[in-house]
Amino acid sequence: MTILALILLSILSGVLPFFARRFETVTALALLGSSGVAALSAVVGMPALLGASALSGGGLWYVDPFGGLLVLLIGFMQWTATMASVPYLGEEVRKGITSLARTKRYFALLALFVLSMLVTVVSNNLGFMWVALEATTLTTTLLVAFYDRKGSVEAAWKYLILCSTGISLGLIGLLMTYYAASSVMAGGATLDWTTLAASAHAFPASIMRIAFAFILIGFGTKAGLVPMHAWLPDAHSSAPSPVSGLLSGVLLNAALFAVLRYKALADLSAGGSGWTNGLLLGFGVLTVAVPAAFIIFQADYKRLLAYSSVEHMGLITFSTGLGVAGPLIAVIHIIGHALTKSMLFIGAGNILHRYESTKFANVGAVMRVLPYTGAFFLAGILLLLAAPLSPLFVSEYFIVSAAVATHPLYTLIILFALSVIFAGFLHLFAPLLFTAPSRGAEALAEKTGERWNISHTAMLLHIVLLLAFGAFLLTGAAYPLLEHVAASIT
Amino acid sequence: MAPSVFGLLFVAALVLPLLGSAAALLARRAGWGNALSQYLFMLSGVLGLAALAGYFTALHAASSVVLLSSPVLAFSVTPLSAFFLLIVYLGTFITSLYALGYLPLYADAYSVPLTNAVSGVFLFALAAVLLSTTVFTFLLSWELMSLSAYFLVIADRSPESLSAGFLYLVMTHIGFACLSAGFLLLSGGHAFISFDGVREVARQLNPAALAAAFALLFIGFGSKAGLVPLHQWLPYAHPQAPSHSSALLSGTMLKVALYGFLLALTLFPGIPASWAFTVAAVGLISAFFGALSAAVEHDAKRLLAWSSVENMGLIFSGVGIALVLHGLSMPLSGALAAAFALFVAFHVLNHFAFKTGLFLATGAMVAKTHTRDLDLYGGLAGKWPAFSGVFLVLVIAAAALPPSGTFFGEWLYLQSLAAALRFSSPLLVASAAAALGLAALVGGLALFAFVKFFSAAFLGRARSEHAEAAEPMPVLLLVPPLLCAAFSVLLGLFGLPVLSAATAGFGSLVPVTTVVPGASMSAWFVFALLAFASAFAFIAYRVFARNRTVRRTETWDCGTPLTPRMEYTATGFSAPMRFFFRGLVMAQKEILAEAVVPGNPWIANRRIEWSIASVWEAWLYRRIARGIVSVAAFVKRLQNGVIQLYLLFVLLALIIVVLVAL
Amino acid sequence: MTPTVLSASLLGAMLVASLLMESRMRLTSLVTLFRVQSAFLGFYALLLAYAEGAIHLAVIALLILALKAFVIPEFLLRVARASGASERLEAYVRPTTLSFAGLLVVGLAFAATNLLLPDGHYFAAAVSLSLVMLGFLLLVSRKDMFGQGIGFLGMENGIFIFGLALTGGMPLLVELSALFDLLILFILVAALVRRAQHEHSSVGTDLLRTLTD
Repeated sequence: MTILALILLSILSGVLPFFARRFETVTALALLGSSGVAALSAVVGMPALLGASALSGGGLWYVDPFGGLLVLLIGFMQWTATMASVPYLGEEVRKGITSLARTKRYFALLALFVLSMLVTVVSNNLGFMWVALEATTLTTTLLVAFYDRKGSVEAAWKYLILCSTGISLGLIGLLMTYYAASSVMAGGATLDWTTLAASAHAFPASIMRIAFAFILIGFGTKAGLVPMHAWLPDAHSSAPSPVSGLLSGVLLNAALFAVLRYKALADLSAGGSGWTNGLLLGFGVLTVAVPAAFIIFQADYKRLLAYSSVEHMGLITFSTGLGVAGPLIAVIHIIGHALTKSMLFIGAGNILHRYESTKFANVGAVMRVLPYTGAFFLAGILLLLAAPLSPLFVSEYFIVSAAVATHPLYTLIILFALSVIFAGFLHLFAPLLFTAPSRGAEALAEKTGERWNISHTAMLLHIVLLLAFGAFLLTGAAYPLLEHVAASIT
Repeated sequence: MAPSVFGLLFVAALVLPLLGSAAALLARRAGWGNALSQYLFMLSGVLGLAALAGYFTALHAASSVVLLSSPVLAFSVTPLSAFFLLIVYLGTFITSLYALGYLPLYADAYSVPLTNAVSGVFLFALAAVLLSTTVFTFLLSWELMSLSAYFLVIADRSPESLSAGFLYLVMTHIGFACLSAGFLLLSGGHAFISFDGVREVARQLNPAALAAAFALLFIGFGSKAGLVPLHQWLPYAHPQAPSHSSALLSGTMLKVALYGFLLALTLFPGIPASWAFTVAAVGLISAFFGALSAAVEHDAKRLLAWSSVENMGLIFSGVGIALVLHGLSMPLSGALAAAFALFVAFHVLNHFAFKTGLFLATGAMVAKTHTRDLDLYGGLAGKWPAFSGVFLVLVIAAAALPPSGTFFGEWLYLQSLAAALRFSSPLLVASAAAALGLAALVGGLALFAFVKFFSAAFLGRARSEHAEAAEPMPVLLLVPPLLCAAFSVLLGLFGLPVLSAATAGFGSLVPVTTVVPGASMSAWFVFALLAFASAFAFIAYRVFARNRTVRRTETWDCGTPLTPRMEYTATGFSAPMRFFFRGLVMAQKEILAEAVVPGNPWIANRRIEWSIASVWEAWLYRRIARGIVSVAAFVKRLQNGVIQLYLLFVLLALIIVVLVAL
Repeated sequence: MTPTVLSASLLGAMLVASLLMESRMRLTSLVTLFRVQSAFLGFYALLLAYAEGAIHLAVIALLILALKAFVIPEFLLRVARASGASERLEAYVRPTTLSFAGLLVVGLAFAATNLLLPDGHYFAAAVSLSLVMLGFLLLVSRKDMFGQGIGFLGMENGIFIFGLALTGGMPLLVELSALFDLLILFILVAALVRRAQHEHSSVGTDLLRTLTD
């Protein structure tokens, strides 16, 4: 019932802005709708997170603690993304880059995107989950192609074709799962995950393995696993910054959520998780190592943040393959990365508007020119690089703890890649924050100074949540709750 | 006094720096913001010292005081950490006293409130590392310490500081990765295990895992302590920080790295001789390299940084030799091992004393002359008589001359090494001889370096405008170095006897019982000898120089007017060293001549540019960097923008995974 | 003609249509072959609906016929003509090579089906896998956005066969939503094609290679 209300509210908040005629009304309506969606997400997600899994809507929706966590994250982050979109689009309308009509379309697409992510995460029917995941690609393609810039069509085309191809491969996996189920289930197979999970132990393991292979590659394309990640830097850097934050922070996790649903079925059928864990470990290591090469000489800061998202998805994937301790680590890392990356993208949006360039060579002295954004950005970079008090410190510590004795070579590769990435980030972002840019330094002098707007409030909310979560992790009370969430992943 | 009171004092001393940070941020517009923060830091130091005094006396320095024990974080005071806490709190007090007068001078270069805020976090983290008793707490505090030190290094945000900070943070992060891997390898998968628990688990591990863990921990702690070849960040980073922070970085943070290494050593069930030899060898090579680089360096603060490399190398070599000797079962080896352990403890205190004092004094010098180049100083003794007296005492300590504590410590070291020459095993005798030779060379180079330092800066005449126009030295900048100098002399007088009676804290590794006869000399004897010699020299001078006439006239100058710039500079003084060790020093000299009258090559403006390249950078660091870059360039070619290639990658991945699934 | 023979012939016809699609270098002929393939797919679905007496399959079949055999190809051609895109398509290799590659791919698919799905429905599974692989071949061998779009739609046809033959189709609502998704996807493809033609005066993917590194 509440989930149905959530869906309807999402659609409504996308449709509402079309009835307004002025920019301020459009944004106010969008914010109102988005706040409603956030509130309802909390209502849906919190009970599931803290309590037990809930099957509702006649078997249509299933929210377990992990799904509840993702619902909460989606709700919160779409709220802050909408908050950040207001000054972002306002600036663009002011400069004439965007029109009011396009703004309305932006909010509509954003609402549909959020809707499709929510359906992916709460849906019990695997078919609808697939449809919703494909819908996320479709709703965001136009957002990726939002601007009339040089690379927009290219980025959108690659995004559309690659992700849809991947999801089609996922459909093959889904059909093979259905086929495996129908061969053993007496009353005909369903696409309901809960029903499938109850009889999954009897599915023929060989077919389930092949099905999982297709799912991993297919949905893994959407989750940004290497070597299927090539669309990610293009798409995430072409989209408007608040949307990039959502893409990087939540969508990748939603795709991984779908993979984990099928992993559970494959593990039940195989009688153990060794085989799927091996695959996830391998892909995880590859996905952490390859972005390092792109980060150290990156010329564009939005692209760099996108590659960093690939790397962190690699860490999350690696941790899901770590056996007993794994899902807990994945949960901590998902929360930490989502909150940090979207905040950084919001900050990047502010920087982009002031400097009108996404290249490192044209940007500098951000701490002086944009004091608030610079401070938040510095804090975000430090938290992303796993400084103490960051949840990512705890999760990376756990990863090393769990993997150093059992998979020493993988751990070595990951630590090496993380060090290279650290060096790259520092090398590129320290001058960005502290030194004057190599080009256009004089023109910048009169544009110094910043006023506090709602995007800073959004970033502040992120930082507060991150630090609170990081501090919470330093007490012992965090772990039983997180174990409860992690247990639902398996 | 009840143990709980000490616990409270320790906690207060731990937390006060954070209050200082908060005060710095909140009071940032007030003029007294800096003073408030420094007073809070000094209070933290005083409380810490009071707590330690109680710990060492009342509690007999053998028990642990638990400060916090939660499932995730745990802090307590152990005997080993109490010794190093002494250094941390002394350092806190002295450098904060100095910063009262120093930071206002640099109000336009640094953002003083932010620097103080970061300093508070740094001081907190230093103590937190020492107080951590679980792997997680240790690594958390360690990373916090390294990160806050980074912000201190880049405090003035100049390009040199940013690049020095970059090198520092990257290397410390690599070290941190090695440390995590090493500790967690020993932990057997328990994430929140305490160090006691690690000892239990480590007993079950196989030798390969233990060796790997040791290598990782040695690399991690060694890179932070400035051991070669992972030392390259040190001479760049330490000079860039504000001087009171440089003093903390050199005087205290390096010692914390040593503490970490000693703690790590206690985790292993046994230390094979090969490991101990490696530690000793690396230590001695670092000491040699540090001393040599200090001897040819002409940047005042960088010279001190190289001297830190040298001293840390000596300390680590002491640790290594102690471990080697401890594992032997020959007569006298136990006592000699104890002697080296005693040396380690003593030299830690000595180095802290003189290095902190020297960094603070050099900082004052730089602040008043606005240059760090030794070649541009000269004649400062005339301008600052009291200050140069203090500096002289500190330089005597740095050069290991009597009556400073450093002299007695190194005497202990050399004599014990000489005693080892009497062993029967030829391998041991050969290594002891080599070590002895190298240590003597190191001592000689260090002496050379500091003689150069003092004479280039204070003696002679002012060689440049900077030294000519040196402003007067305020008292507040003079007192902290004076305290350090006094401490150094006191260590000389009282250090060894006090330490050899009471270092039960080092006892978990090597029991410190007696000292080898002949390995130490009575400090009072030396002191009396020096006093007598100087009194004699003074009286002789007064008696025999009474009737000498002094003639003042022009020096023969071949027609060119003599200027003070033509005096012996630091660079000139070190020329013989550069020549003798030219393979290692890699000095590059370029003479540029520009003709004054076109067509006449004989009359020209000549300029010489010379620089010293680092042999490690050229052979090791650049090669590794180039390797990484070429691999990265190859990988980047895969993102060539052709969507069909991207689709083929998807297909390839699919085929591979399906084949695995079959 | 018994249902099995009829279904085998329809499957075979789809396979031949796909094979022929590989080497078509003119937009209209490519689209026509796609129309033919989709029509056969629709008839196949109708045949299955009749054989199993499932109404929902009949609904799906009719929708497939309507959308994939009429609406989508018509709209695509209209967009192509309106934006002034060239009738001539480009590929990385010659058409004959593409045909050979297609044959090779079909052979591989048939061999692989034996390994992947050793039991039941061999021919249908093999044809579906071939269609998917042939669609993929179109995706990677064509240098223009039309070719890639048609290739993707061909892949989807193959997956539909798989679903229909092996599992009797998914629940109606799911199939409807999937078709709806496909429609939206196609609209997006058309929109992007039109924009690309407007910006670069060409729909070649050679001009879509600027985002590197």
